[in-house]
Amino acid sequence: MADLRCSAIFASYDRRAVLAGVDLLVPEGTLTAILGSSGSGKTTLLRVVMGFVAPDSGVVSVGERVVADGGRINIAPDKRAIGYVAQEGALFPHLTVAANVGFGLPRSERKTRQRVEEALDLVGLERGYAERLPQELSGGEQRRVALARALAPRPAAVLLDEPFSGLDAALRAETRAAVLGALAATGATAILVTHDQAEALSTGREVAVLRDGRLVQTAAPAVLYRGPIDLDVARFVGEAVVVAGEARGGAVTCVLGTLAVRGEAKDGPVQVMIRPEQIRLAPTSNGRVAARVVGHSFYGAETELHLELMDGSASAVVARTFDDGGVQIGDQTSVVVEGPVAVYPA
Amino acid sequence: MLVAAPVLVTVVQAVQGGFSAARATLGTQSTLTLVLHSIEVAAAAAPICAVLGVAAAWFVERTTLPGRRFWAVIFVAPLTIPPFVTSYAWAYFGPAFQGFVGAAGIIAFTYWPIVFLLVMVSLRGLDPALEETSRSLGLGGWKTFFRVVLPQVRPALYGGLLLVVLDALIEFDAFVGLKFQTFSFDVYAQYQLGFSPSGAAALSFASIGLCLVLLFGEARLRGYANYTRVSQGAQRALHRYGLGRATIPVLLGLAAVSAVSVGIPIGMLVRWFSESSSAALSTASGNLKYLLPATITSVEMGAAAAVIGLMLALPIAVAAVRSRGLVVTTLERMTYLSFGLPDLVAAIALAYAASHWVHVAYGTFALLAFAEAILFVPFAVVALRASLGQLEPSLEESARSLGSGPFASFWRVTMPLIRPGLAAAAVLVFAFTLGDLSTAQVLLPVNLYTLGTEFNANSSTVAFAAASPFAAVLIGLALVAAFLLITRFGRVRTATGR
Repeated sequence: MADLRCSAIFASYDRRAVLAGVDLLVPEGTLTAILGSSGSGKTTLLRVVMGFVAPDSGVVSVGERVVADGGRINIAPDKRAIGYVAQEGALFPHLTVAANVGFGLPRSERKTRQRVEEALDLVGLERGYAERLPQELSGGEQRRVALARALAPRPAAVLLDEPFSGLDAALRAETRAAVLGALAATGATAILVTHDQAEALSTGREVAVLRDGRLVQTAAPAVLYRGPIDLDVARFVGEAVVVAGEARGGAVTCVLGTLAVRGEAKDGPVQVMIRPEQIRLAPTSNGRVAARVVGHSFYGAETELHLELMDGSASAVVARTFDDGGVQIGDQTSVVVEGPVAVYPA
Repeated sequence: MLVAAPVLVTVVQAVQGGFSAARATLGTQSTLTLVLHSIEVAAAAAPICAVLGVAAAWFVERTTLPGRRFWAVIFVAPLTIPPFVTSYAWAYFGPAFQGFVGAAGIIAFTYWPIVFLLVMVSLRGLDPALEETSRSLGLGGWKTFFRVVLPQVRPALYGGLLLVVLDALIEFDAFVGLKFQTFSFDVYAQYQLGFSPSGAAALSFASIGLCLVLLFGEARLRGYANYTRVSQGAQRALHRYGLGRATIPVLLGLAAVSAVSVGIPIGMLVRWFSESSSAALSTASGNLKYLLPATITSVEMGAAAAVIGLMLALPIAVAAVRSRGLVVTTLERMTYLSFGLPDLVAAIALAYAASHWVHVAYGTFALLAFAEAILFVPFAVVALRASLGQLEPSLEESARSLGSGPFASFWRVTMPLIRPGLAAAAVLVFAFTLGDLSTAQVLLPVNLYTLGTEFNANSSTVAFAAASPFAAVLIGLALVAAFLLITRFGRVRTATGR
């Protein structure tokens, strides 16, 4: 495995610019999740790295090896040693699991079966699966075989295109664990492309947000979630409560009180971004912000409360909490904000 | 380029003949009449093909019609039965069927399976959710059919009709038993009278011109729409409509259509056998010693043409499915263009080219097989496209990412999956080659004879009893071909799904 680097990638499709200068470094042995809505260019980026789309300009390299450089170098997909797990697996329907996994191996290794079995072990599939046909597998098993197939020839890097889409919640968790386990065990350098925030945040060592053909922020999941670079990214990676405020000396004053600011902020008018789970209910007392409950949704692990502040501004606020204190719609309560908040110039 | 060779050679011939000669030939009143005849036949046959093809495809693919597989085979059979056999069978009914009615009828009832096959495959690929949505929006069964189902199969319908109309315009074999003269007859006459080939070549300009108009028209009608399924996920089986009380009338209707399209040639064959006196039978037995060699030559010719046809059609079909550029579209259309050339002219053109430029090929079996392959390549392309279009591109891409080169990926992944499509394409070329008369008559090496030429030789002297054994073998092979075709056309190996 080696690190994977994209520098200043520009690419277009049907003469429409799709990628407008993508810079990305996936360090050796780590997984970077690329998060983008549909139309953001994530499929094109994947295809540029794979070699199915030539970039207009920019360099893709794996380790020391340049695999694409504008129009000058464009190594064929089969010569790049970059594994690929397509959406829904794309298993060859005419081949057994073993033949699928062995597809990319040299003939000698295909015969001995040793590498095929290693790869199946890696993704947690029993040897008994080897002779089955793809149609006899569940959706989750198909994804695992697809990963085993991609890993078998020991690629320099692996690309995963929405590997868990279309799986139900339980199967998704199980498949996700198996896939991440196999990637970690092989020390794979990997890119996972998804439009699902939770999937990106929970799988990537780093998460890169792709918007309008540009990576607007690449950061560790917690950094991205708590300190997004702008309000659009904030809203894209999770739910956000945004209120107006005034910053002064590392703190911000707004309808929810005076709150600590994450990072640095210039004094002056700002917009304050608070995550719903930072907002907690508290017993009503003087000095606390009073609110009335206007909406109440129970999700099991947490309860989402829609609140209306009673300070005259009637600002709408969403809180996510484990302990809702038994409040019901129409009740009055108080709210407090925990932890530092992010601010953006107004 | 190879595929377009006959067209190019024809142009050369016509130019050599001089433009004044060409104008003289083209301008005559009789030629105009014959061209009009051809157009009338095509115009009369096309609507019949459209209605029969769409209705039969819908019954087979979307209803609980009893014996669907059987019906499908019966429906395709007329396509694989040699048109000259059908022609003599219709002519046998009497003078009323030897004119326009017979010509239009033969074309309609011989070529409607093309529409049937293409529409059937298209129906099979439809997303059931679209119809369900339409029903949920309050549209009834008929309205849903006309507003949702029919628009989606329209590209297949137009594609099929294009082939039917092109066929009708240049048809010669199907009219050999009739007294009805069309455009191709004029071409044949020019050839038989020993005129310079430029006369025939000039005539074919008219047909190529018509062909161009049609190709352009069809492309405009079809647009560049691509109606293949876009939704992903496991494919649900399509809902089949119960026919209920309509079952018996529908069965009767389909039986009536089959009686015309398959019953007439087979019925006539049986009658020729039974009516023939012992004297005729002795003639027949005298002919029987030719039966085996003729069969072998026919099968060899069909097989060779099928192999060559596949090799020519595969790159064209792949290019047509994969890329959608101007160059590729033009190339694909070029294959149809040579189809717009009357068989006879194409054959003459190839004979001319061989005798002038590739003398070793002249009068050889290889040239004949090549000519037959070129003639029927459009059908092979259609059959291959129907299978190739259903393959997910991610399969080949996965193979590429695993280190397989482009050709290796195609060979290891695509080829095994489209094997049914390859078989369908091969069967089509094989069957059409078997059923071809005019090309074989021009290019057949002197010492060889086929089932078709033997049948024709006997039929044209009204020795139907003597001709019937050859027709029997041809029809037998045709039915086998029909069965193979229906079980394979438009299929791919089962896709991954749950």
